[in-house]
Amino acid sequence: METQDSGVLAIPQRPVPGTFVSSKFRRELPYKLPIFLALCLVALTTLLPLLYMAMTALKDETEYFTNPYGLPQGLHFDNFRIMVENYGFLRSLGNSVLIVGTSLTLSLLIGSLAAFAVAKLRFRGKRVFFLFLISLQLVPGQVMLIPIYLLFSRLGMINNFLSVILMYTVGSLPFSIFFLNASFRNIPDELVEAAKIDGASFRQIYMYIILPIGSPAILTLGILNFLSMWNELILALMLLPDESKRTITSAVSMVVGRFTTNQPLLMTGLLMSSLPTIVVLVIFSRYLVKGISAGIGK
Amino acid sequence: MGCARSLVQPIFQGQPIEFLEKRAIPMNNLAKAEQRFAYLAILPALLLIGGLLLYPIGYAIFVSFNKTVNGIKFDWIGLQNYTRLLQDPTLWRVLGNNFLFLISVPLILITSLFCATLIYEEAWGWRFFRVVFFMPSVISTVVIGTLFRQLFDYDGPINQILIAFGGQPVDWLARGSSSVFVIILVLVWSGFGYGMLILLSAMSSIDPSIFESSRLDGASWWQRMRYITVPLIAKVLAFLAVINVIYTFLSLFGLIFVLTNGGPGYETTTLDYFIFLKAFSGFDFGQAAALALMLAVITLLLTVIQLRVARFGEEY
Repeated sequence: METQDSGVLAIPQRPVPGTFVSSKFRRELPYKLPIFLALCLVALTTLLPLLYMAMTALKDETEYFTNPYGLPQGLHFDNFRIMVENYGFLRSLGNSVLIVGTSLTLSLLIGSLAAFAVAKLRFRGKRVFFLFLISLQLVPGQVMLIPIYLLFSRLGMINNFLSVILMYTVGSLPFSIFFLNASFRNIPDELVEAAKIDGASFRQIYMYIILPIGSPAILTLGILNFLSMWNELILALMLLPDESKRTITSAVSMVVGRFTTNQPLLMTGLLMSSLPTIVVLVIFSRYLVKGISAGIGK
Repeated sequence: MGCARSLVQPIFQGQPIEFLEKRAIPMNNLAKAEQRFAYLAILPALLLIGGLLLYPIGYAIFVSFNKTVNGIKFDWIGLQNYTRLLQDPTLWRVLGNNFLFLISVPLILITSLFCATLIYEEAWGWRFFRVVFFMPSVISTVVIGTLFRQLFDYDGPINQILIAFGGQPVDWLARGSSSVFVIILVLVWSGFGYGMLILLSAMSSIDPSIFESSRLDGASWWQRMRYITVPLIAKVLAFLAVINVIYTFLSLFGLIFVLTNGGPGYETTTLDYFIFLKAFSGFDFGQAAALALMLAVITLLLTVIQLRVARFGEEY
């Protein structure tokens, strides 16, 4: 009992790195400098194409001709205005937000419920359900392509957001259940049992124990699912062909050929579609790293 | 929760479990309620998966045995879609392209391993570099494909740099071999960050004292890599290789669609792009479905190999 209670008073004693900064710095310099330089070199090859994209997006066409690779002279946001007004990019962005937002909510809700059942509840057929999920993950999405197209066109649901929302949700479900099951399993059984004895319903256990404790895993999964849904192309092309219904990713793929002469405008389109995912990466990088590391079961 | 623990634990401590089950809770009803809730909890997932994954898979098998006219009329023709595909030289051509793009896999492995070992040393700013290297992985293949198409355009920056250094401009995407080169370059550029993260997490599970003692013994960077790091993460390396092989078979559509459109001719068309062409340019749904199922068999074989390799690695 004592060890459990002392957790409140215990002061976390972690080794604090960089306490003796100056001496440590000097000691590590000959060893770490070459590594740092090598990292810089790789980072440069990664960042240069992206910087070119961002810088070109801020130039107008005449500036691009006189100064294609230098820093932009001023901040021109005209390209963004043109993309929004002439190519409906704001609408496509809105479509993407709506579709991905809804699919994400659905997949996390349905996925966490099913994962709770698999991880913490006893029921007949659990093993079958789990094996079923594993085998589904082996089938590539291309197999479903044509039947899905035929199904939704017969239902009159081409150009209907619901078709893509349903497909994004269901496409993410097997992995989501898998991922959440692995983390829900780590929630101690005693917590669930104690709640049961206290008379908590299973709905309450799900809402007040599983969801709060599992929230970091759910957030991580949410980010992973967000990225794959936002960047999905082929279903968006196939099920939402109408110009006003395009997602941002399919919009970019469709306007590619239209103005190859106007490089700044094209780069603006690319920037607008990739900026949300880059922002999510920068904000949630810690969760993403954890999620991907968990993906290999280590 | 603190309340529940303090109330329950003292009472049942040291008591036989049967006592708990018989007296404290009506186990039978609770177990039934538990099962009922579990079925309700997996029901939405089951319905969606059944209707939108399982049914389509079955339907794809059905379609693959039919001749389709404009995607509407179905005529049962047995295995003809498959036999005709296997006799189609374009299929073998396309499959050859897929194998050609596999060149990217060892390149990605080497780059990932190199970057993972660099990041592992935790030099200044390693967290920043980790995010930067992973950045291409979160950008859609459509954006990456378009960006590199513009970079390798005849009037694009890459040729400008070549000219600045006194070289001749190359029409990269007009010829098959140079297009393949560009695609492989893009695959490595956009794929090594993910590999680095995977290898990094595998390396962090190695006992650091092994590296420490080898360093004290005077092992060089290359020796540590060759005799410690690589053997200890061999299993994860194999996993990464198979993941990337499957990726080149399944997920190049978006990239090819914007970068080369499969051309020139069929020189950069991959299997998954070929399915799209069959279905939505030729509207031959039967052959497209048959092709997709053949692709499924290929990936299934690859996954079996992956599991074998993983088990093989476990013996160490």
